[in-house]
Amino acid sequence: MEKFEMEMNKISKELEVLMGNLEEIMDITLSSLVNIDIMGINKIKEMDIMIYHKTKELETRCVNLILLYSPVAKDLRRLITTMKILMDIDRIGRYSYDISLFIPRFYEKGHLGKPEIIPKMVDQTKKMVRIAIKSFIEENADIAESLQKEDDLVDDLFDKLENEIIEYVKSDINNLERGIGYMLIGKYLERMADHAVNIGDNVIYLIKGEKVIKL
Amino acid sequence: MSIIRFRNYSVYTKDRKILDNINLEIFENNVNTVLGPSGSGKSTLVRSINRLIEITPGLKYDGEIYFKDKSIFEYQPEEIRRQIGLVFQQPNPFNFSIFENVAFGPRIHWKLKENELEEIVKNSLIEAALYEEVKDNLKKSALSLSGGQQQRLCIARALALKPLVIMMDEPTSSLDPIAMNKIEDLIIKLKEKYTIILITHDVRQAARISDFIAFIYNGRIIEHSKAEEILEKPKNEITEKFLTDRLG
Repeated sequence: MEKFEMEMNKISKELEVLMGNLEEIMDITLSSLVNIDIMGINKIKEMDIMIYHKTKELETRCVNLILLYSPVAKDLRRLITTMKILMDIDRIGRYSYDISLFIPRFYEKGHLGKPEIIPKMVDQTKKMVRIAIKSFIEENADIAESLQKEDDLVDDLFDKLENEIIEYVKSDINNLERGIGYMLIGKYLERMADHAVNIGDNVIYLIKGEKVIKL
Repeated sequence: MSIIRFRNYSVYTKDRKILDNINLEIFENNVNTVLGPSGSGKSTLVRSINRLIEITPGLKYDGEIYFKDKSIFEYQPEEIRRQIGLVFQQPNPFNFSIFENVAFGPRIHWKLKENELEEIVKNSLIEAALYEEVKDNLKKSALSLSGGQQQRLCIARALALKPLVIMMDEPTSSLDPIAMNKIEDLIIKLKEKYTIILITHDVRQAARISDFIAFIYNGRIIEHSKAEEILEKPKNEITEKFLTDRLG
């Protein structure tokens, strides 16, 4: 199993790099959105494609390891966890790109007031992704378990965003298009935070062998 | 429900313990695998069940093994060996015809008419998934069969005695992958009617066909649970190391 371990360690290292890319794409997405920087969209798209291809490559290598070595015990859990985290990374990258597609919507008329809740949601989501990454790298179940509480904050922010948008649209129906844009951006961020929680749940499974069940 | 129970059972020589205070349940109509590295005591464990240990010079034992809630030492050894068949690592057919290999056991255990004997031989070969391959050559020497066929013949020979339990000690270790697959498929089929005890050091084989796995190391049962539990989340560090090939 020496070869298995070597390849698994390589995959883990590349996964860590990929998680760093994820932080980067989220940073670019936030600054492009707040500054309504249309040029940022291309960079986000490029990064999303790169992340997608890398997740597919690592997934294939994981499948090869299963075929070659039929791992069990922690080796099996590490592979399952890695494959699931790859799916979460792919989705978070894709949501960043989806958010960037709304930037042109604000190009002509600018933001509705000074964007406050969305940057807070982005910060909180980024924080969660960072915690998820740390919990995986350090194999720390306590850190992973803290993600659920962090996710509640994102949900609260999303509720606030919804109320704010309703007020904007009530006051002027012309705000509707941008309002819907914010709502969807908020929803994507909320989903990204959920994927960070998923990563944490998978880290708990890796360490403890217990599946985190949520109804 | 358990059909065999070990209670504080140990086997030892003058110098060392080969099995150390074994407490283990063998569950009915399941594939019960005893998994462990070479020299861990796996074979001694199965040989204890059909009372081969007590006739092995230099070995002593204490503790109890129960078969159907009665101590195995209260049965006649022949009766235990009829009800609990043993298939060895190397196929070991007798130098008789295929028919006589299967008929041999029933002939010495029971007084049977020739047509009854034929019925038993046929059914045993069918159960061992060998009949279709040999039905026209039952008088041919068993030694003319391939290794995989010989092993299934040995299984048929055990089945002919109408056992409740079949113990298989590394039954595929001398076989090619195709023959191994056939034996594994057969084991899964046989558990519907019989209790299977499988001895193996092959983790992948244990994963493919076991319902329960007991991990044995240095003569001790380190861990015993449902196969999926032990394979996905072993509780003991030594089990984890063995399963992931990091032991020693």
